[in-house]
Parts: sequence; structure tokens; C-alpha cells
Amino acid sequence: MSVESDRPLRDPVPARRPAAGGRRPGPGAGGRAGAAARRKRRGEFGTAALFASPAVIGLTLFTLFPIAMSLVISFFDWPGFGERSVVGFANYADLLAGDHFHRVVLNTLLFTVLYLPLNIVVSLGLAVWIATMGRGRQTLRVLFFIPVITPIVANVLVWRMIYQPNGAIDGLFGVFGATAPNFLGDENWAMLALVAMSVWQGFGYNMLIFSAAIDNIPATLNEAAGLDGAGPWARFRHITVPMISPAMFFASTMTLITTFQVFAQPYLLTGGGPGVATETLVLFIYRQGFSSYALGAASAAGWILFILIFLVTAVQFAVQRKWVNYDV
Amino acid sequence: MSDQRAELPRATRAGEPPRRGGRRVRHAVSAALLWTVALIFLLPLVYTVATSLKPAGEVFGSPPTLWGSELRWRNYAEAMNYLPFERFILNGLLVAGVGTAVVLVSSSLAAYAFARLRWRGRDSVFLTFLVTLMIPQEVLVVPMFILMLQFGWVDSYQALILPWAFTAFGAFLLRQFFLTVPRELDDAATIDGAGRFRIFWSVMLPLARPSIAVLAVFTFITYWNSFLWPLIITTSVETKGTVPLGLSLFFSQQGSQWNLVMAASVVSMVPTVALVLLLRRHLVSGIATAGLGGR
Amino acid sequence: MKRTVGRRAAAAALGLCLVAGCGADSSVGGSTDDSGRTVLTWMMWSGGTAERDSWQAAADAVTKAHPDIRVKLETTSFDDYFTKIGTRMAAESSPCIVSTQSLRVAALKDGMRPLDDLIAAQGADTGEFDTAALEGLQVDGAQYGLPYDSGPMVMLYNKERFAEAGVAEPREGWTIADFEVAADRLSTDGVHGFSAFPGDLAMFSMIRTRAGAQPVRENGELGLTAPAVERGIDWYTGLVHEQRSAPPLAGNDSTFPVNQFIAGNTAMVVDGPWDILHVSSESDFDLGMAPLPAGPDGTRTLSAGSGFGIAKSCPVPEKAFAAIKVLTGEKVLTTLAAEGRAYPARPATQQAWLDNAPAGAAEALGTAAETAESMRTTPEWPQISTDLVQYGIPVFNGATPAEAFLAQVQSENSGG
Repeated sequence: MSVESDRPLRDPVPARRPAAGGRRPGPGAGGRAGAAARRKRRGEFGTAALFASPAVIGLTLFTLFPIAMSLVISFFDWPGFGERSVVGFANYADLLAGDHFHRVVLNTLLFTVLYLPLNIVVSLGLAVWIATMGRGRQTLRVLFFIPVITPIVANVLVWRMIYQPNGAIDGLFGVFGATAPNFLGDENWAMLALVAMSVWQGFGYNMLIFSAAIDNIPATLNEAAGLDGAGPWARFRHITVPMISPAMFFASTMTLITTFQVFAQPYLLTGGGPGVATETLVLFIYRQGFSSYALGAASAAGWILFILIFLVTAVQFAVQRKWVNYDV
Repeated sequence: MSDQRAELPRATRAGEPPRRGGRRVRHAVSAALLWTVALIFLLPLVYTVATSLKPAGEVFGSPPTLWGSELRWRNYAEAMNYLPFERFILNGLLVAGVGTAVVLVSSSLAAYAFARLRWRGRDSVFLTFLVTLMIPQEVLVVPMFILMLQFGWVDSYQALILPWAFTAFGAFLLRQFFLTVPRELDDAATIDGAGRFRIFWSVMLPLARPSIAVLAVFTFITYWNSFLWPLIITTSVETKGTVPLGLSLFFSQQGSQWNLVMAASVVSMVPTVALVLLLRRHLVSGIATAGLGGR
Repeated sequence: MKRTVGRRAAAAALGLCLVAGCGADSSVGGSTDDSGRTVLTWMMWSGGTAERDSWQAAADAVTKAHPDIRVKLETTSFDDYFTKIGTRMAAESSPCIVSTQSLRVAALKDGMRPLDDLIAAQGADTGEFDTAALEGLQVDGAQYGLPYDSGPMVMLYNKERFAEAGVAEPREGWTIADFEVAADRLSTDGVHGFSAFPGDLAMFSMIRTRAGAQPVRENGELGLTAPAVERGIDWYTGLVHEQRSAPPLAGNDSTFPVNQFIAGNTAMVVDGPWDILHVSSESDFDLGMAPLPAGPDGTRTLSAGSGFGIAKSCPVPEKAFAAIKVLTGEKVLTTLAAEGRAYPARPATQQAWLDNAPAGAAEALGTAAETAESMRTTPEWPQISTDLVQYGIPVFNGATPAEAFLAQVQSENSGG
């Protein structure tokens, strides 16, 4: 996987950033002692095993085993109850041959294509904007983070009231004598409505990550650029973006993985409808597993989703070298 | 560039305009606008609170109104009496609290091994960690339940906590931070005779405290709001139930109590909001030093 | 040194858990407790504490009748119950006593055991149950459960809205034409006469009386594309997009029709007795009840009851059946009825429920019970009912023709 060529995954980058506490040893001494220490570090397998063992054992026991078992199940006709039988790749073949499944995959891709950029733009935009504030920055950040914390059932009820005919948006339209679309009941609007609600609810995570990255940009950079006559846009483009590109990479990777797995919002807000307009892959998987009790098909669909995410993430890792700036 | 930065006090902010006459006005306008955006953004939450104070018959009034005909504070008492809700909150605090602690310990240890130690198979192990994030939880629930049956852990706190305490997110996050800590620090400590664990404990962890706070908040929220797994693994909801399970019980075959759901939702936000407020300083500067920001 | 100690401690802890079981007692039914009683796990849906207490009292009644049995109650919200029972059966840890709604019994039957032999052996008098409720728990002629509640669908209406609009209230013998006129005249100024929604039971009850067909044929095959069903769906969805006497639909919230009714936005809704006391207490208007309007072959309605069956995996079916007999017995049902938990499946105990019900309930439910057929389903019903909502909403809003919708749901869910 191309992930391996990604720098953070390789041998630790010898970061030359000065230590915050000023305990940095002199360059010469540090170099020599460092070399000695590094030599001593060659056979660190035992130590590493000790450090990594809680996580590795935990992951093996609690995650790898269920993952392996779900792979096995995906090759079975595994009804919730009754006879189980090995069917080889039949579950996969059935899924890939079905129009319904194609549509569900397309919906998932569509949701991701709409949600991911919107999430990044909104969270980045607000993070940049909030960073220009003096007092109240912390408060603003906490305020924009609150929907992340709110129970989703509460969010869904409120957004229904916003979207429904005769609801809040419709009421606004009514002031101008117009009628709003039936956002959740109209196949052309439901996906957009779902994306908008999801962005509102979910961008807080990334906003925090970007806020932190922006806070770490040395102010002298911006001041110098300002003296050189660079406008806000130029400063954003040539200072902020390069400086926070590693954060953007991390945020977009994690968001991508979770966006492909979107479930709660379509499950609760639209139920995948109207029609199949908002039925996503994990919603499909959930219903196969817990409504039709077809665990084999559900697991197979889960593994197809895995391959999708894996491929897209691999591409993302491959492309990042072109735009992510680790050496600022 | 990094050298410049070393001289800067931490509190300096990007994008803060130099103090010049016209700028100040523009800044004030921008601030007013931003607060307006924030208030509009929060309107749905205002609506959540308003609904939690409505009489049941008015929740779905048409056209919807923000406030009901009365402020029915009794809804909160009724929601708390409808269910053993304080029990659910305590369970949630226990599960999320212990879960977060386990995640912090296992992630920071593993992150150190991934970032700082040299051992065969390190990168493949780390990749395996990352890849496990890509399988949806929904297909793991049944195998996981079968595993818990083998352990005899069904309906136990450890089953609520442990299965999701070893995911890759935390190890990934902290590893990124450890990579940015200068090696010279370890080397100096090694010369002073410190062992690996000493270095981890007295050099790395203190430096990482902010990013640990970030991981703590994210992990706590994930545990606190998790629904599907507690639903499946809990068989005595009245003693082992967590908050989202409690919320689901307001939707009964004998009708749904939306105003009470909203009241309970507001109550359920208190611990997480408190946590975020408590850690908010760390939360923001934390991710920056976690090596995700300007490295 | 330190390492080995740590590792040993961890291994010991894990081993101890494996042997002693760090969890609570096993959830699989049929174990024996300290005092030698057989413990039977009973999974049931329930909401708040008060409701749970009612079911716990029923469980305690079993021990009172059979001191050698203890019923361990396990509750979940109604919506999540079927998710959970499926998972538990799939993991082979099903509770002994399985609760099921009649619409879901076909889906669960492979994990359940027919009761006919136990009914004969233990002499249960099934004749004392409401016929439709009892039939609802049969699949292919085998009895999979004994019912505790009975659910013929009736029309609820808002008396005040009828009076304001000067429309005569529905009464026994009213017809589809009367219904359409009332729904139309009650639809003014942003409020509507009727709450329509693709919820299976309410929708197909109206279609049964209007068009004379059920969604599943008598031979058990899915019959969504039968001409009568198509006609019925055409008419029912037309109430929204043609007659505009019911509000347009948005989202998949199945509580929408009743919530609109409670809020006064609609003046009529089709509902079952399990919900009626709730509607009556939440609404601040006078609640009326009537049988469904009469179609070509008179008033008809559908019913869905719920009851208790036994998991195939249960090692002690005789004891489980003895427990079920108590749970659906006259004593327990009378208590449940008096507490408003169930409109009981034994007609002899229904008065206790009616004592707390709105005026007119006895007449409306009496007629409904006489004219009710049990609603038939197929094993795919959980998915079908989801599909009906998901694909049905655009039909109600006039964006998709009914025929295409029915053909799609039919083709995705037949066979298998």
C-alpha cells in the first residue's frame, strides 16, 4: 500500500525543531551522543513489544478476530437463524450484480463527494475566521463544537422541523410569497438536505483541528506578509494553507473514512428515502444484517465497502506528497 | 522558519491585523458578523431546548413555533422519573471514563513504540492498525457478540468498554505527536541514564499532555454517544444501560414522548459539555502540538 | 522482573474471567439458579420504568403460579427489539421466551418452535382468545405464540375539529364516501382532514376496507401487485397528492401520522388500541373513536396482536410454555388491561382496559374486532415494511406512480 511511502509512517523524521523547554543539548554533543544512543537502540524488539503489547493484544483480541470472522461469514449464506452453508463468492456476486447495490454505492460516493469538501471548507473557513478574533475565540470554538456533542435524535427532530413543508425554511419562503421544496420528501433535494444537516452536525471536529493548526502559525509570518502588501487572500493562500496542510491531510483522511461509513443521519432523518435517494452503504448493510438477518450478505457488503475506502485512502496517501507541506 | 517560531511566544495569533485605524472598524464588523453566524448556527440547539419545555401536544404544532404556550419545566422532572436516568448517566460516566483511560494508556504506549522504537514489523503492525478503521462497525457487531459470549462477558461493564478501547485512532494521533519531539531530548535523557520507560514517562508524556487531552475528549464523546454495541451487549438495560439506550426508551410502542426525549437529550449533554469546557485550552493548542499542525 | 509479573497478572486476570465469567449470568435461557429454580429469560419491548414494572409484575406472577420457575425479564425499546432479538438468535444466545408482534412472527419463525404439541399436552384453551389475535401468531397453520394483546385498527378523530367544520362525526356504518367528504371538508388553511402514511398496518387496513385485498395472499405469497392492492394504494396515496386532504410527507418518521393528529394538524388517523390511551392523554381535545369506513363489502379492518413464543434453542420448552400460559392468562391480562398496557387478547378481560378508555371505545373496538382479519405477512416483512416507507413517500407526494412502487417492493422481496 502506498501508505508506506508516506513520510510519517517511515522511520521517525529527525525533527530539528527546537525543544520547547530549552533542554536542547549543544549541537556537537547531541550529535555524537545521539549516534551512540541510536546504535544502542538497534535491538529494541523486547522493549517495543512491551510498549506495544497492550494495544496489539487488545486489537488482536477485540478487533482482528471479529474482522476475520466477518470475512468468513461473508462467504456463507448465514441467516440469523436456521441452516448455514458455504456459498463462496456468491454473496459478493449477488451484490455486485444488483442495481439496488449499485445505486447504494453511488449514493455513498455522492454523499462523500458533497460532504467532504463542504465539511473541509466550512470548518477551515470558520477556523480561519475565528482565529482573527481576539477575545471570545475559545468560546466561539466551543459553541461551534456543541452539535458534535448533542444526541443525534435531538438534532434529527429539529432538522425535520426545519425541512418539513410548513417548517422553518418554508416559513421563511412564505415571507416572500414562495413555497419551499419538500426537502426530505423530494428525491432531488433529500441528499442535499442530508448533507447540509450532516455538515452542521459534524464539522466541529475538523474546525478544532484546523483552529489548533492555525494557532501555531507564527504571527510574524503574517505580519511580514502584511508589510509586504499581501492581502488577506494572498496570506491565506500562501501562508495559512501551506502551514496547516498536514492538518488538512489528517482531517481529510479521517473524515473520508468516516464519511464512507455514514449511517446515523440517513437512518434517522430519511430512512434512505425517498426512494433510494439517500440510502448509503452502511444503512444498506445495517438492514441486511439487522432487518433481513442476512449476515452473509451484510458482511460481504461490508468488505466491499472496506475495499472502496482502502483504495480511495491509498490514492489520497499517494497524492498527498504533491500538496502536503511537511517542511515548513 | 522553525527557528523564527522558537522565539515567538505561544499566544501570538495568525491573521491578527496590525493595529491601524480603518482595520479596527473592519475587525469590529467582522466580529459582529461572526457572532451573528454563530447565533444562527445555534438556532437548532435553541429549538432543542425550547422543545424540551413544550407540552406534548404542541411539539408538532403547525406551523412550528419556537416556544410553546408555557415553559413546562416539569418535563425535566418527568423525563428523569420516566426512566432511571441518573443510573444511565452514571453508567455512561463509568464506561466512557474507564474506556477513555484505557485508550489513553494503550494508545500512548503503542504510539511511543511506533514513533520512537526501532523494531522489525513496526510499519506493518502500524498499517494493520490503520486499516482496521476501514471496516464498518455494523459488520463486526455479531462476531464481537459471539466473542463476548465465549468470554462470558455479556451484560458486563468490561464488554461495554474493552472491545472498542484498542482502535487505531488514538495510537495514530499520539504517534504523530511523538514524531515531532526532537530526538535530542531522548538522547540527553539516555545519557543521563534514563531507561525507555523513564523517557516515555518523564519526557514524552508531559510534552504530550495537550494532545492527550484532545484524544480524551474525542474518545469520551465516542463512548458516551455509542448506541449499537450497548444495545446488543446489554441485557439488563435498567442496571447497565447507557444514555443513548435511555433515550431510545422514550420511543415506546405506546407512543413517543418527544418533549421528554428533548429534555433528556439536554440533560445528557451536560457531562460532555462540561468536559469540553474544562479541557478547552488544552483541546485547541493540543492538536497543534500533536504534529498535525505546522510541523 | 517487572515485565513477567505484569504479564502473569494480566494472564491470570483474563483466565479468571474466562473461568468465572466476569459478566453477569449467561443470557441463554434455561439455566438453574441457586435455589434450584429454572431460570427462563424473557425478552420484551418496553419503554419507561412504569411500563417495565408492569412486565416485571407479570414475570413475578409466573413464579407465584410455578414456584420452580423464575422468569428473568430483559427489556428493549420497541424499535430496537427486533434488531436485538435477531442478533441474539444469530449468535445462538436467544432468550427462551421470545416476544413477537404478529407482523414479525413469519420473520422470526425459523428461530422459534411451533407450540401445537405443547398446547395439546398442557391443555391450553385457545378458544378463549380473540380469533384474529390468535391467528396472527400462526405461520403455515402452526401456532408460534399465544397472544397477550389484540389490535384491530380503528379510526380516531378530533371531535372539536369536526364540530368547528360542521361535519357529522363518523359513526358505525359510515362509508368510504362519507370519509372522503369529511376529510375534504376538514382540510382548510394548512390543516388537513386525515393523516396518511405508508405505515403497513394503518395503510393496509384502509386498503382492506376500500379495495378488499390484503398485501399478502391467503396462500402466503406476497401480492403487492394484485389489481385490488394497486387500486387501493392509488386511492390511499391520492388522498395526499390528489385530494390534498392529508399532509404531504417528509422523512421516514413512522410516528408522523399520529403526532400530526395529536398536534391537531389532522382530524383523523387510523390507529391501534396499543396507542390509544397515549393519544388520549397527550391530546388536549375530545377524542372520538369509530370503526373504519365501509367499503364495497362493508366495514373491514386488519388487526395485529402481539404475544409470546418459545425459542427453538430453549432446552426446557415445557416450562417455558407453562410460563407463557401464565403470562397470557386471565389474571395477568386483567392487570395489564387495567394498567393500560394492553388491550388484552382475551375478550373476557377487555372491560378492565375499556374502563380507562375514551367514550365510544367499546363500540368502535367491538365492531372492529368483529370485522377484523389478522394481517398476513411474509418472512421478509421487516424489510418490506421499511421499503414501503422508503419507496412509498414519493408516491404519496405524487412523484412516483403507485404501480412502479408496488412492482419494485414486490420484486425486491419475493422469493427467498
